[in-house]
Amino acid sequence: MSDRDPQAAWLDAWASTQRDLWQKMLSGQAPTPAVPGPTQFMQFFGQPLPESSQDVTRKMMDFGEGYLGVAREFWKLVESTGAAGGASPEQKLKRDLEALQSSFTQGFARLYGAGPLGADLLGAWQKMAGPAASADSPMPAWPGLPALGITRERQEAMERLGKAAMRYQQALGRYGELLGRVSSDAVERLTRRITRIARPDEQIGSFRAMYDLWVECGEEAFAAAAHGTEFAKAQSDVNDALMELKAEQQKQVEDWARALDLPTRTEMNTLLKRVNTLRRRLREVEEELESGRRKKSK
Amino acid sequence: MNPFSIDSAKALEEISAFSSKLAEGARAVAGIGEVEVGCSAKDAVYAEDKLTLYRYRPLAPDSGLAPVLICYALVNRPYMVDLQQDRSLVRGLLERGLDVYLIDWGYPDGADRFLEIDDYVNGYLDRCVDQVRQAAGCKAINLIGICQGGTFSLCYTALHQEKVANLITMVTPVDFQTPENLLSKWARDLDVDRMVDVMGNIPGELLNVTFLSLMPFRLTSQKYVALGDIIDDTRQLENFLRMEKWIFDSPDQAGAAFRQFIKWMYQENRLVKGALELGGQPVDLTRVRCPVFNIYATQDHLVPPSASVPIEALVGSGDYSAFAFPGGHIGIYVSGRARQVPQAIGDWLLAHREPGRPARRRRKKAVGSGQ
Repeated sequence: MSDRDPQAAWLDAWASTQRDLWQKMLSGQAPTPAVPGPTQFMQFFGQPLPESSQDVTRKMMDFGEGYLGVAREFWKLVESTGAAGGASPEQKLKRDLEALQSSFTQGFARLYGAGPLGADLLGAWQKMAGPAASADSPMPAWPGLPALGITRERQEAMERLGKAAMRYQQALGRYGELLGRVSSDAVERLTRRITRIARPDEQIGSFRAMYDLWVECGEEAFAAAAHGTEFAKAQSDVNDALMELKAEQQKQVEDWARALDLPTRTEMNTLLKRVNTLRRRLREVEEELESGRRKKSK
Repeated sequence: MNPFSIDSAKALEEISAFSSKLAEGARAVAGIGEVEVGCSAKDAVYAEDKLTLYRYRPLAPDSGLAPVLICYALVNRPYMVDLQQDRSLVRGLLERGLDVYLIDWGYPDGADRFLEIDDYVNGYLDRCVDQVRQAAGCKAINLIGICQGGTFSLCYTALHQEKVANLITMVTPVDFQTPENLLSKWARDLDVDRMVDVMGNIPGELLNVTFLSLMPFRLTSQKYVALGDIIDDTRQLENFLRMEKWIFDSPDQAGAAFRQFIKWMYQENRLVKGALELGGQPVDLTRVRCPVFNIYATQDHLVPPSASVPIEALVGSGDYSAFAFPGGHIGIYVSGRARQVPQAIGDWLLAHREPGRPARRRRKKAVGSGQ
């Protein structure tokens, strides 16, 4: 443990635990080291990071953790290939990579925002969606049930909200599927690149080299998908479904606000538009006056 | 052949080094604390709504050239042009004796949701140009438009040619529908009307994440893993943190202007088609008659060269020059080669000096100042 900076002693503890567990794994004493993540260490030691550095440090540690997870998968592959006498036939290597495809996909996917590929974008959308996008959104028990009686309008509004929430979840699901395909394609590209290695100077000599190769394959796979119409459509479907959901939410909030005689967004917008129109008109008048003054002075 | 040449000793060495560097890096980042951005001394000379117009203090004897006004994009903050002493477009211009002004659009909020492109171009930008002209006592200024600010500057020059002596566009899109433009492909199907009707202003965070999603593996993963390579170098680490601060410092976008920009530019490509109107006036790029210097980045993934190069064919100027910067959209300000840019601008402006311009006027009392 470091005495340089007692505030961050957990960092040394985490690094040293990593080393010990990797040593055990590499010497065959433990199959796969299950190292607690840096966040768990930080919580255990009760030493939060200074606020100014929290965001970058957390990203560094999250991505570092993801990277080490990928390195573990990579080591399995190295060992498996080495077990065949260092001259594994192409077919065997392909089989090994295929066997590891699932864990590779998951492991590598963690590198993207410490979550699945696209997690950041999905996260930003979810954040915008607010409470209505969560699992406990108000969903009618019988979405197709005809609305009757005095609560008819309220029931219809809830149904619309429920349907919008469902459409949003479906769109999100389709987008997620597409991103999953990108991850799989990236692994396939990686497999092809590895199996093509034929000369000693092309051999992969470090985890980092393997990781960089993965990033290259990942970007290639992503670009291939992202330039296609299916991807653009899936993205805009998520966006449109989310906007529909938010619009329904807003309608309900406005109803409540009107019932309580509170100002609504619609009223605010009307006022802002009027102010903008007045400002533009005022400027026009000012310019006309100025131009008149200039003409007069000539 | 075995595609791997890595044994357990080498593996342990690499993992140990990586873990230690990561821990050291986290400690170093925590130790640095808040990084400062914007290195050149400047004074606020005009303010209106959220906008502030800054004038930088001189660093060299007056070149005698008309003042330069930098019009940055609404997306992200303009301090990118003056990030730090050794990475500053502004500083490069000041060192060449130029009188430099910068528009800071500020952070729009709910009250700004109905601001339109016309308000930005014929309103704010025009009034800033007038302020600079008045302060310098000249009829026309040198306008530098950057990215979306470049598109605005093109429109502005087409509408107010008499006020612009020379136009410099940097990483500026004009053709928004070229095949390399991924952002354009994503924007084309967007129901932007509904988006703006529902959200009012568009959150900066959403735009930011969209930009990062254009190259998700490189921009959101690899750079943090690669951070380990520079962790021992405090200076480089600070540079990295400044960039991080800038990248995630994204103002919300005024809804009405965002709607127009997406529809008119990305979806309808009106500038190329000559179909754009602002404030009831057609924006005819052939009316851009002043000399134009277009700087684009050859590896720009946000504004690919194909989006910017057509400026030459669209403007009416018979004096067009281009500078293909070997780098990306951000590298043009902060990479090792970025010093070439103010040099190129300075040289080009000197070659396009307006004869008989009055000497620089004394500074008026500032409305505020910043370092």
